[in-house]
Amino acid sequence: MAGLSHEPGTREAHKGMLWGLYVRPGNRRTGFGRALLRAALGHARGHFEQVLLHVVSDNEPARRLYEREGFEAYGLERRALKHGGGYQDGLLMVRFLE
Amino acid sequence: MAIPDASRMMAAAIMLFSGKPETTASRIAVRRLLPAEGEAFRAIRLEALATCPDAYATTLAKQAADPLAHFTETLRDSPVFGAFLEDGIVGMAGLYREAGERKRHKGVLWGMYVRPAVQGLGLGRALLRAVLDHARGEVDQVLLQVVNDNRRAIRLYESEGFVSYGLERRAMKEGARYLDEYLMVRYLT
Repeated sequence: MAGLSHEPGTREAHKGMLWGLYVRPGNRRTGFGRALLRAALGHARGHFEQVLLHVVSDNEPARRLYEREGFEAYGLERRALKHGGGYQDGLLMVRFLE
Repeated sequence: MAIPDASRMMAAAIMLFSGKPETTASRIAVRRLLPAEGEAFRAIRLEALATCPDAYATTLAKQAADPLAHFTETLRDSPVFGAFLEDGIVGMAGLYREAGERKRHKGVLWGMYVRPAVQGLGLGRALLRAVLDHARGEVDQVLLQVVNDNRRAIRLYESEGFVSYGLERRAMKEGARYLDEYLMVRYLT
């Protein structure tokens, strides 16, 4: 699955947020992730001017997928997520659509 | 002769710099707004949006259409601080907590505003410190977004320990114009 939401601010209506991208581990490396991402970007065109996402910074496969599909990093948020006593850093990425 | 408000405020500013800080300090107060102060909150929020439209993601038109109950509920649900000069509200700053189990450790500073005529008195810094004091014990860090050409605000945030962790191009759009924003964070732990 993959979802696309819009930002709440009046001046942020041009931005889409990609969220919840997931492919069951047993079905990875078969192109589902890329197909989901392309479906989301296809929908985003016509609705938004750019798509933003946050990805845990050490999730290399996801990062590579996003980069191949034209996303670029615009920030690195330390301690973006917290669970138990630990933190994870978040990489902020954006893909500008035409 | 009646003295206009702005002149009295300037008088306060001059006293601050001419060695009578106690007099001025007694006229300056920063405190959390109570739910009963929805009217004052609404007034300063609409003033902020009218005076500095480029600084906020919300527009005056949208916020002006919100009923008083909206403002009262915001004050009930999350801390909003007001800056007062001679008993009149002249500035504000709010803090909300991110939703989601894994993001609850983050607070977001929003809506920071000080009336231009009374900038330079330290009200912005006092508001920011009030927010950070409240945030300590509630969250691990405070985040904010600031338009990248707002040098004055950026300097204030940096001097209070915020660091930039990103630059979002085209973060806001107004007509055919885009505004870029710095993402900043202050870690409290």
